[in-house]
Amino acid sequence: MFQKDVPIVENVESKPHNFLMTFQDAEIAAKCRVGQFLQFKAGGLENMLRIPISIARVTGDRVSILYHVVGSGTDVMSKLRVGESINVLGPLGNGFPQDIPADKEILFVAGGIGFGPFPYAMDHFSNWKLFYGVRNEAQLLLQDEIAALEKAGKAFVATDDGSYGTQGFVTDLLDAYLAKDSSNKVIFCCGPNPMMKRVCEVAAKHGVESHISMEDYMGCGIGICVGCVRKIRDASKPDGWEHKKVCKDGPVFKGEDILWN
Amino acid sequence: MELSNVNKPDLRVKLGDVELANPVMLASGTCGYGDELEDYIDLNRLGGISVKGTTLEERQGNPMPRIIETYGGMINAIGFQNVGIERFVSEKYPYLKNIGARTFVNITANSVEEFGLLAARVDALPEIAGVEVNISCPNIKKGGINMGTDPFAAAEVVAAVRKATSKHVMVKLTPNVTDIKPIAKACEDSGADSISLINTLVGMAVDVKTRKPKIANVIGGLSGPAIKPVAVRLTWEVAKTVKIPVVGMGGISCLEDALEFLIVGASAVQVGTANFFNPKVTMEIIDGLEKYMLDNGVAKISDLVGTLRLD
Ligand SMILES: Cc1cc2nc3c(=O)[nH]c(=O)nc-3n(C[C@H](O)[C@H](O)[C@H](O)COP(=O)(O)OP(=O)(O)OC[C@H]3O[C@@H](n4cnc5c(N)ncnc54)[C@H](O)[C@@H]3O)c2cc1C
Ligand SMILES: Cc1cc2nc3c(=O)[nH]c(=O)nc-3n(C[C@H](O)[C@H](O)[C@H](O)COP(=O)(O)O)c2cc1C
Ligand code: FES
Repeated sequence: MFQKDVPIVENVESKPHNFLMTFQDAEIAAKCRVGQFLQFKAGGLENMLRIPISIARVTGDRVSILYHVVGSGTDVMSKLRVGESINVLGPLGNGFPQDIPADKEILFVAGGIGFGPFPYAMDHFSNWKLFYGVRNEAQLLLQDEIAALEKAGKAFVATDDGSYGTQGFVTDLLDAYLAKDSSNKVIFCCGPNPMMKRVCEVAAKHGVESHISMEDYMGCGIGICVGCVRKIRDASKPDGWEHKKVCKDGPVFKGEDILWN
Repeated sequence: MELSNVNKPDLRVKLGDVELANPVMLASGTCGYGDELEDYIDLNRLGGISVKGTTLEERQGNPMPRIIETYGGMINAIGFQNVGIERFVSEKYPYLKNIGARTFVNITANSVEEFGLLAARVDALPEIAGVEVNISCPNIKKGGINMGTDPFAAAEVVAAVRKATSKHVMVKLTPNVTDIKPIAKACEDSGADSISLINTLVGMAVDVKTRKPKIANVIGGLSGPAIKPVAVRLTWEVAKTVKIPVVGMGGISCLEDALEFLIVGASAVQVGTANFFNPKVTMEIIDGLEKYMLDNGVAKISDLVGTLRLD
């Protein structure tokens, strides 16, 4: 994978504290797969480790990310201007499965900034529905695009406070949708831990396969620090599980294999 | 230092009987088993690699969170998650035996006997240069005393490893001691071929909102640029104390950092945490060393080692 400085062609605050950054690099763009991530270097010693961010979209030789400013690293990123460059490592991780049969409906379930990988997935696949949960309208990313998808019956939005879409949890929307018909479906999910855990429960209840993308704190992103592990079921191990690396073995794991505790 | 016309500087380093193509190595626990870095660096250009701390049995390590960034560094408590020596031999060794970098197996154990068993297993692997003995671990049979903080306990481990292998025995010291010199001396006297240092400094970080420690293990090992001055000082002290070669590390992230260690007496260096944010760092340092030697008329890298001027 690549490690290089790339020129920024766009870096805008689309919603309060939420940015869309696009950089140009043909080599990286050509290697990306849906559900993979990139490691960004922002600043010097005050942000020594890199910042993992999902690939949100690939358009020709341009790669976009959606990021929420939560700390010093993402703050540095938000202050970069068009024409400046940023050092990128990647693309990294396994990504979502690519070989979903066309007649199978993929249910994208996104929570908050976990929406990150889904625009790319929406471009790549055709037979899908999007379930998107956010705290409130101010956190709803790509709002115009989402509104059009809602009109077309392809997207369903839930907010905690009812400021947009249905009030409540997006997992309840998913549950209700699967209760009507759960045949020939598969779930791709990314979001906060409690939401992903609930998605796994809903998936199990309806007998639907799920693929969960984890966003854990990372040291290196390339499998050399072993600081990013999750307990993943493995019958061959003495305790029935193994610590797998989220960055290298993941970030996407089968829902049924994840041990939540 | 002799100034001369240098066309092709000689970066080769001798650690006892082991020759490295250059003094730059990857540090244990920060490079996996080498293969993870092959997209970014040429493993044939490296001087050496010390693989992840290997135990007799496979280990799953500590609970999460096990790493946290601190200013200019990070604290880790991975807990030696590794595949164990048998899977190392069957799954990792076949790859490592074909790379140009000389490989050292970093061994970790909780008793003197286990250290001996691990060294004997490594002894049977022809393409491995030697062991790096991580003596800073608790001896479970002896009430958990840290074998790396006591000269007698350290000597016992080194003697057992020495008996078990004819390969190079590098002993890795912990900085978490009041005086490192007697420990280094005890290792030399018990048969060590080289000393590497430093391992991580014990550290701690607290989340002031929740008042909880930031890693599950409460305390962990501090590494990265923040620890470099401590590491340079300890490397200097040990290099003055022992006659065997010293391999310095701790916070190295660029050419200048590596040069500091060589100047205070390290024959080679290891690069750890910097790989996490700059996987290409070792190649940059090797290129930089070559250029530095050309620019400064240094013919052999050994002409630089231990040239600290105190006048
Ligand atoms: C595979 C992967 C994909 C990701 N994709 C995206 C994305 O598309 N968009 C996006 O905005 N963010 C994403 N993240 C999360 C993002 O990496 C963190 O928000 C970012 O590293 C914070 O860096 P900082 O220096 O700004 O914050 P820091 O100063 O490091 O931390 C600020 C606060 O955020 C917490 N924090 C830091 N990292 C994480 C994390 N990984 N998970 C939960 N809490 C964290 C810290 O504990 C602290 O409370 C992803 C993470 C991973 C592992
Ligand atoms: C995540 C991590 C894991 C480590 N694992 C080991 C190990 O298994 N064995 C060992 O001897 N040292 C281990 N170390 C210590 C390093 O090899 C090195 O001594 C130390 O980090 C100082 O160098 P640095 O500042 O360049 O990282 C580890 C360090 C880190 C950061
Ligand atoms: S982040 Fe370092 S191994 Fe995953």
